[in-house]
Amino acid sequence: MRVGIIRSGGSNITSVINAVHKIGYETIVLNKPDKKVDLLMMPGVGNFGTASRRLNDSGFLEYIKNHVKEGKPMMGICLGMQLLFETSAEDESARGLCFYNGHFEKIPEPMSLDQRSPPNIGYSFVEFTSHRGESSVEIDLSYLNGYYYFLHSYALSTIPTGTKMIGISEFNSKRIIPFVLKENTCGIQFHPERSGLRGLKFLSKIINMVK
Amino acid sequence: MEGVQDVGDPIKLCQKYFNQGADEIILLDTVASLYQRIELPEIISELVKDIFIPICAGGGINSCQSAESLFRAGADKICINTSAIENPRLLAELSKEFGAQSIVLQVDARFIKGEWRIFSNSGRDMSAIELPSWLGIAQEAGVGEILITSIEKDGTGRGPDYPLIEIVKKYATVPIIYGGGISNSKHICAVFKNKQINAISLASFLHIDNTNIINIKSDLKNMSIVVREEIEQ
Repeated sequence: MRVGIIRSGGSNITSVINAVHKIGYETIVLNKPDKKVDLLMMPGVGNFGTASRRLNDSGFLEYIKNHVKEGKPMMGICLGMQLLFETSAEDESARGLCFYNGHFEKIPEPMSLDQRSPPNIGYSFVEFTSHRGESSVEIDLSYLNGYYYFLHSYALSTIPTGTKMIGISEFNSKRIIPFVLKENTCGIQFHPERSGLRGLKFLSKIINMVK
Repeated sequence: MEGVQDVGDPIKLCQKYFNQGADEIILLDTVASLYQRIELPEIISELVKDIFIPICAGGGINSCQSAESLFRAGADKICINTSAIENPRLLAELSKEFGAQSIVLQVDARFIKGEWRIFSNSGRDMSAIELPSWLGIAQEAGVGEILITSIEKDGTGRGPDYPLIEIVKKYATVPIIYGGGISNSKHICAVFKNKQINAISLASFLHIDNTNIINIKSDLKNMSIVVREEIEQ
């Protein structure tokens, strides 16, 4: 299986490439939407508006939509997850790929001294649970529950419709949804490629689920 | 910070600490500014092939270009001290270019004649700026974290520098990583129980005392500190 990794806007994708190699897949870096791949991965950090406009201008938007329409797997990581959704408070004028319904909001400011200031940098606990929307199949990912590395300022707090699996976490006592999966797509807010051996195991399992 | 010892191959050491469950790796070329060299990118590109935790790299960064070479090699964050002191505007440039979350301010501090002072070039040169105002300037410019080292305690194993932690906590709004003087799990527990301290950096305690991170985390767990545990193989 060939994993295509989208490089859009000079973001650092080295660690994602290395992680995919480590779990045993070939990768190809896509600077332009000009090659067919088996699995598409969209990592990235940056601004939601800039990134979604760049996807549109570069032709990646059409490319991704066609890839997913063909039933092929697609994973969005960090900003890549946000881009699978409709909108973000980071730039209200921009629209994402709309594979999932939902809006990303700024993560909450601290309410007391023991809470943290955004951005959320560091490890947070994530619990994986099946969310029976359309699927009646119970999948157990609880063995992957644990600490994952986060680096973000915006997050999803509502569960989108039609998801099979979700991940639940917290920032400053507010619930966030850092993982969604349905059929052949999934979004991951945290960085599995930076979350130790657990992260690699998670990535490997999720690739197997969507492929 | 004199008396630097060769403790071995950085790549092998990092691999070892990753396998033991380190949460993050900080790689500092401690004499880079002094000798004006940058060799870290090559080390990092090797390192990131097998290490899947965040890597913060620093030493000798004096421009956006030199920072970029570290990010390109695979560093997740960069840390900067000497050049930031010499040219504080660089912090704002780095923060704008790469995002505040990826810029760590490294501060080497010591209490001298009633004042907290900061040092560049691995503790060799004292700056005219005092610690509290430096923390203000740097956070205004947009740094995402502060890596604070106690020059007095560093490498001694005689316990953390509590007055330094107190003063940094007072002036810092971003997360703090404390280092210096730690030689047992009780020291670490004591620092964590001071809220707002999110992380501790260990050097001699690991390199020279050959302490296993698995044992440290198990001690901390017994002292009711939440630690990240690796998945069972």
